[in-house]
Amino acid sequence: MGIQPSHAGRGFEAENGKILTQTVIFTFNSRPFTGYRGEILAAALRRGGIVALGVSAVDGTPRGAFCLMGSCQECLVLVGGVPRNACRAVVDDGLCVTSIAPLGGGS
Amino acid sequence: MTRRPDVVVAGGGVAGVMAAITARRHGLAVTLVDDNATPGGQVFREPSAFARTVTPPDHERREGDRLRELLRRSGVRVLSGWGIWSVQPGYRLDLSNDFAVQVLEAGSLVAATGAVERFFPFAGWTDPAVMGLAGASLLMRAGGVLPGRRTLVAGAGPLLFSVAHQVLDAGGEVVAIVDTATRTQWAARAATLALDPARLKTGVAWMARLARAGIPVLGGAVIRQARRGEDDLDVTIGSVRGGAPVRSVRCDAIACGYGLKPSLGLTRMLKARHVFDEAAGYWHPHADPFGRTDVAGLYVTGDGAGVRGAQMARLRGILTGHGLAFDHGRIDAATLAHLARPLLRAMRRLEVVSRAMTSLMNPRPAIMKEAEMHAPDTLMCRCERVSIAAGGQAIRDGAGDMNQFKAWTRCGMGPCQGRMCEDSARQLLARHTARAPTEVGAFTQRLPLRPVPVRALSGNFAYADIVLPQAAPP
Amino acid sequence: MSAVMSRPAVMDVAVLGAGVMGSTAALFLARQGRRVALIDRKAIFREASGVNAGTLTLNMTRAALVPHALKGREMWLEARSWLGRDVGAVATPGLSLAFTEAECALLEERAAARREMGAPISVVGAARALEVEPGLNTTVRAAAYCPLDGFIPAYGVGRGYCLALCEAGVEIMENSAVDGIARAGGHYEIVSAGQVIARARSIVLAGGAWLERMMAWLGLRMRVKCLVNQLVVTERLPPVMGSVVSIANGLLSLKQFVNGTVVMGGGWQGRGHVDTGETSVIPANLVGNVRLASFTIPRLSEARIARIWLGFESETDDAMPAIGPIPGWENAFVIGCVHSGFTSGPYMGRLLAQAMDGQAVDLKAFDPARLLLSLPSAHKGFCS
Repeated sequence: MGIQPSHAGRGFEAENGKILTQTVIFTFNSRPFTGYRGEILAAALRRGGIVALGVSAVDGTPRGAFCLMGSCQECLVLVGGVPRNACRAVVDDGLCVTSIAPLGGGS
Repeated sequence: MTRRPDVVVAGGGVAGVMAAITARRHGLAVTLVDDNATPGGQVFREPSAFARTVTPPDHERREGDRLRELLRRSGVRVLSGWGIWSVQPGYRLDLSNDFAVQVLEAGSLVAATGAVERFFPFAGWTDPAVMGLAGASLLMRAGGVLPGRRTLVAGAGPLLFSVAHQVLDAGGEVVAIVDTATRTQWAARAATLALDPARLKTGVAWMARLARAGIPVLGGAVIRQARRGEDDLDVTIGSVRGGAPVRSVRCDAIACGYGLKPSLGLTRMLKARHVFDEAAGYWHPHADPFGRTDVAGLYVTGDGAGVRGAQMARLRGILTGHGLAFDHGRIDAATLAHLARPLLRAMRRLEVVSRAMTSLMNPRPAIMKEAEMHAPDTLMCRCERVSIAAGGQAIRDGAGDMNQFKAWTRCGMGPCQGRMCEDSARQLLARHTARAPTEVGAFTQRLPLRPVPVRALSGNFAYADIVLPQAAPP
Repeated sequence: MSAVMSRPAVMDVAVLGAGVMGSTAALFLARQGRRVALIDRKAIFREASGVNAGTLTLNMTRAALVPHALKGREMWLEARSWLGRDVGAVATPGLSLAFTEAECALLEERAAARREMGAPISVVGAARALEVEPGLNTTVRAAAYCPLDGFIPAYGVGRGYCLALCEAGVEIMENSAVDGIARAGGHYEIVSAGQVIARARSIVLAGGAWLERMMAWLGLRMRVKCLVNQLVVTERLPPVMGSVVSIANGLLSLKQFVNGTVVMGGGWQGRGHVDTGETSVIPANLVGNVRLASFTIPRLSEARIARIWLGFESETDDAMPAIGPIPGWENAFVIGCVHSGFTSGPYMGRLLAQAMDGQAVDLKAFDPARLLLSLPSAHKGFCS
């Protein structure tokens, strides 16, 4: 899914030697992903082609990052077992991220 | 523990940072609380190191970096990554992050919590490939990632064109812009826009670029439905006034939003007086130019006092900082007047343009009527999956106010606490009961202002540590 | 005062307070063929009846009220038969837990008192408690087990009532804050904002925490203590528990609803005042509640708190209900201040309707006369 900007690597600020991006490896639902240290999970996952971060607790349909400002709560995932918003949590080496398990039943 | 500050500023956007820095310069002890990892708010959100390498260093980035640098050197104590989940008069603020809680107290509180995006539903808007306009902008500017390869931009207000421009900048494709306002409505504001030549110039440049790229701008239109296909979305577009669909497009992401509205959590909890801005279609706290509300010691600054954009937010923040200095006895009335004069003058100039933009962001009740007519099974509450039809049924069954509506449908009872659905609920109730939105009112604001993890709140404890209330009668 | 207004028709009964007690009384009175007006300062079921923890419990009910709670619980579970629709009541077992030696003793004592009144409660060991509720903290020492418990999402119940009341022909008058009652020509005039909004031969005062104010309209003094209960609900969770859980001292009221949310009730207090109707959370009081809940059901520590709210619970001087005729006033009745009032509410409301119909029902223990601190001085004129 080509959602990485076409001029990735043009290095707007890297040219001045100001910014160093460090890649890290984390997992989402056991699949490895590459991220850049310090970026939010939602961005790293979307670059990796992941749009759905979990399912609705009500009807089990897919849900993803919507507002990106901590308001809608739809990007909630488990980071090392702790519920966190993917629009706020920052990637790091070895981070274990999982979708929240569907509830199964209920209304 | 550090000593109790004179002032707590809630929110690290431009208004909050400027209020904090200004108050600090007047010698006040200031703590700034912000739920983002670094200050900057939404407009000046700090780009990730990766985003810095792939997006051009625009005005917002330079300004944001400057703001962060100013704050770093200001002597303001900054608590980044902490959200406020409770506020009590006096003021006691209960903060939480994903792991812990802490309490902060101060005599003065500045609500600089900015704006949140306003949404109205369309069939399929819960698809994960649909996101807010502001969210899409943050993803691109702060994250260096496009919402999709082919993005449909929809909603109301100037943010539509800003986001389309950002998509193009980042090398993406904009399949169309769907705007509730018509070309005529924009043209009617053009003269006003001329009062702010910089903004007019930017606007004209955006439009020219979109025209060059051959991107269709559909005015007076809304998304009627987005249906998930094999690997993209099939989107139907119709007129805001109803009728047959006018066009259908395919895309793999939708960025939509209907303007911004003040974030009211703190001021509602503290029961400050709020007034309804008819043109903008939202409530905002009543405040004087310094941000003083009718609640002693409570200030509101920036977009939280009424959405006027970043330039105004900066000026409002500085004014609030001066106001705090006066109210805390650091400067006299003459000094305050002297400091305020040029700021107030600059604000008057910006005010006219900002208000024109605000009214363009307001899609008016037509939008809910349209959604209701064409797809009653459209979900109005994302968290609780409440359809427009279910909402209408609850009203027919007798739910006459916002809170009864919430109780009978669960609309607004989910984790977002009604932030995503309140406008839809209000318009639906207003339409069904033939009342003005002001009469219909608002959901009662409940704590926590953001969900709080149980583990963070409970901490480590033993059974004997639990303080129990008085036993129930025998 | 209301000379220029068209005078409202005289109803048979005006019920003041549209919570569970008043609404049920109104419903059954209407079904007896009476013309009933149901009046509330806000919307139907928006105070205690709509914001309580929704427990159908016997473990937490006062022993003396166990027979009524049993009947009320039955009615909720069979709402279809008398309300005409299901209100989402779910039958589950209930457990009251002891984690310390002192609590074990308390548990025995409270269970025995309730058993005597007809609650099928037995004290069981840890193994049996964990069998009933596998989600429990394994350090539990003993539990009072009651097979008859359950819950209802209280916030939605008003909708069923609203429909049933309309079908029964009750005139619902919401957002009508009454500020006085006058006696005129053999009937009562209900006054709101200086105008007579209803006239009726009989009145029922069913204002819950506001009953002290209501009784004052009639020149009577009845003390009503007001508790401001703080309640907490989590986001939707996978199943973490299947019973209603309290602790030995009668507090907590923990249960997971069908939709996955877990409500933690239990008597932690917030701030509030009935005169303003305003309430506010005391954040520090939340910690105890959340700690106790997550200690009891450890998986709750993974949850997030979605919402905190408060409700007024009313209590008389002897913590027993006030239900029956109001001394000194003809055709005037009061109903309220019932501990665990939501559980027994429908039964209590029906009892009053039956009593007003002249049926032989035993309300002796609830006689309002015992609670009056002063007797009416006059039976005439406008009192406010």
